[in-house]
Amino acid sequence: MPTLSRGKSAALLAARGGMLALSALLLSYLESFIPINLIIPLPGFKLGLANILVMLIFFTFSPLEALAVSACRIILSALLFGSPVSLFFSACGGALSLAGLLALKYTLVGKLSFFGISIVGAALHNTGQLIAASLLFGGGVFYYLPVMLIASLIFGGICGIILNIIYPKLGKVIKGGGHR
Amino acid sequence: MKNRITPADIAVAAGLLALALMMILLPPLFADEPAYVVISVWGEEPIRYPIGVNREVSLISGGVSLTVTIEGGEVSVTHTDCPDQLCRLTGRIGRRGQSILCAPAGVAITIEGGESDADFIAG
Repeated sequence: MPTLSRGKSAALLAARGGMLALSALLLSYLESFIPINLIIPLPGFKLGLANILVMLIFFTFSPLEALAVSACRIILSALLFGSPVSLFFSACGGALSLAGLLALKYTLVGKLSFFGISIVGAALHNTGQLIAASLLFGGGVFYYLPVMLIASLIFGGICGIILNIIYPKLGKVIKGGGHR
Repeated sequence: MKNRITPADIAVAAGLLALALMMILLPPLFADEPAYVVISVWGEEPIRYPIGVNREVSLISGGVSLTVTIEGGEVSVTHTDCPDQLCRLTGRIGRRGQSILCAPAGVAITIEGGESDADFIAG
């Protein structure tokens, strides 16, 4: 494998980060066309397609890169399609979810597939959003927690199954591309 | 990292489902009867209305208007000009602890238990 100078390596990292952040933003945008709220009319329900990419980055590259891409996606998504409230909700959910993934990476990752990891990530993301909502609206919002946990099982499970299928192939491809 | 669903995955999913079901099934066993509809805007001091008295409450917050209807021991948002309409789509709620949220307006409508008075209590 050819070695890269520090400058080239930093440039590659920045270019890759930009492309991945844009891809995550695109997935968030595409997701807004899926009418989940007509099926479950409660605030905060999303399929979480962008989280597929964030988890792929987390386990293919590094947690720090996943944090950077996730932060870019959340800020850009709120600026383009959301509001300060949605930014606050997403930031709290994203932070708790990434903290959970980090804990799993050093504990149970050898025993779990993406199915379990994605469910835990989704549950923590929803819990983080509810903590943010409770700061704005009061503790009554925790009534939603069990419904959110069941939604995490369904939507996190779907994302996890997708990751189980694509990670063995796509993980190698994007990692290989990063070192060329 | 495993590429197929493992027994540990199933245990995680089952644990989460059990936790969610416990949260749904246990609280009603210890709950008071629903007594008040509590409406708060951006977490400020809420206004309470007895759930047994039919009425309509109109609110405007953050440029969003809402009409909250209390009828037959249930509450719903019957009209809003909020772009996502989620609060209206939530439908009618009537059990203690249930909430309707409108994030753009910062409005939370929650049902609380306790001894109900005949008139509404502000503050």
